[in-house]
Amino acid sequence: MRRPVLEEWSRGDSWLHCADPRSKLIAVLVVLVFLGTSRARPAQLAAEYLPVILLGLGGSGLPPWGVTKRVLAVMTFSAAFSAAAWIAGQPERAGLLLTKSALSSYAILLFAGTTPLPGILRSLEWLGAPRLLVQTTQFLYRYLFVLVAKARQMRAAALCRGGFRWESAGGAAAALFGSAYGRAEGIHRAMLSRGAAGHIASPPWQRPEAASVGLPCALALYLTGARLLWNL
Amino acid sequence: MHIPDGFLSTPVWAVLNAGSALSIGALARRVESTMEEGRAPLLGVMGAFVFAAQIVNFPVGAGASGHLLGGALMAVTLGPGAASIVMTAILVVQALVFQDGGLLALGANVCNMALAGVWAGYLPYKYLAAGGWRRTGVFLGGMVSALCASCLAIAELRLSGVPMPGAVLGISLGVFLVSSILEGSITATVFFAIERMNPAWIRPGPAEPRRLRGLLAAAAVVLASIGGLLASSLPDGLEKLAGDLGIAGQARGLLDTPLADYEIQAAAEPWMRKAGAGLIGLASVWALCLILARFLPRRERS
Repeated sequence: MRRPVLEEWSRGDSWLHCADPRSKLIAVLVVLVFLGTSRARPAQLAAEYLPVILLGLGGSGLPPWGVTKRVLAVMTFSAAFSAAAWIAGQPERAGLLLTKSALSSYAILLFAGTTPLPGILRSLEWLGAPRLLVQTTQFLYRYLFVLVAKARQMRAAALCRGGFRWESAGGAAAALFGSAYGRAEGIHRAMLSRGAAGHIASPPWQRPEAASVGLPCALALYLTGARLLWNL
Repeated sequence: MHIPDGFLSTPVWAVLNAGSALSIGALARRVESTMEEGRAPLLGVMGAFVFAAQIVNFPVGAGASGHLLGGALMAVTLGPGAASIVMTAILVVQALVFQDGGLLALGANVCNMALAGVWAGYLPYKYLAAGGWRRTGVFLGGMVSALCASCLAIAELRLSGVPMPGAVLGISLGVFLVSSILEGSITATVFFAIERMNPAWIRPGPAEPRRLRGLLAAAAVVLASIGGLLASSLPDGLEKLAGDLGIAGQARGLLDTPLADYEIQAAAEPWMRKAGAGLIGLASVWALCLILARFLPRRERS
């Protein structure tokens, strides 16, 4: 497994990259809540949210086609249920499922593509997520690629021997489990020997800039205005 | 099955997000208080293991293969509370890094896979393993975990008004059943391979207090007696399909039963008919489980 492309994107230096992660998290939640509670038609929704998405793409400097390709990759699940709605004789519902799903994906990609995962997790902790969950997610992401690389090596070795059989696959998974367990014990001992309390320390938050604070407020104002305008 | 954003109705995602946040918060506090200090790396690395284990393919014949989902395995190795935290961390990474599942739908996915999936996978192991039926317990744990998570996802989509024709629903349930059997088999294979390697790695969590069992029993009685009155009167997927195809009227029962259509025919009031049938059904299942629990372990030991 290669490092996800989002991790590379999140190292940019655009205005959106530099904005406070907490503001960006609140902004994306504002967009998702407005989208989730909207009863507008698909065309209305697209007209309402496309300016936000285009501004976000412009402000972040992320490759528009790259982002769109990832949105399309996510849409397979939505497409299946949209087709089911179409078969059930509800074409508008089908369109709504696709539109809401695509717009939500753009919003999350813009957030995750401009904020490194540690920043996202710190923002979640700031919002009240349990510390144990945040620490677990940090360690998970840190060792994910190491273990996946090991699993790939095991699979390559098995393929050279003619592929996995049921029992050997069970043995391989157990060996991987043992390796992960051993690694976790090693990390724990190393952290204890350095006097660490068993969690990753994070620096204190800096005071956010006015523009960062204004981002979720401006979004909420725009989306409220747009909804009122459509309802007139 | 990860639900993306844009599919759930406002009441469904709001209730599930609030419920999941409260449950995970309470579980995190409980795990932190019982876990040895500084063990977060263990949980994180075991979460990474679940990702990595999906690379290992189990051949199931006809050129197809399956892989471990891991909810039940985590529950029996780390304990259900810690497993719920690990599965939630996996869902957070999947939603934010791999765009698998939505952010507003995270509560629903956590409820299906990290809470219901993990605990539904742990209970068969806990109770059957205690009676000497370990292999069956682990297999059923894996199977029930996957089946419960996918059925809950379908139920939430239906509650949100996502249209699903009867045929699509029937096919989905069939696919879920097959994948659940596969998950049960893979979980059992990996579990016993791990145990052969090092039995100390299989560490079930502390037994839950009697109070929890009492609460579960009370919830079952309330659901069985009142739940039927609140249930939708619309036909289920298969009945709707049979109705659409015009074959519903041709169905004939082989014999008359006292609880046909989940009602006691002898009762006067409609609410008594439904509630009574629910309670009799619950008592029958309880009695059957009690008999099986007493009889089956003895048979295996002999």
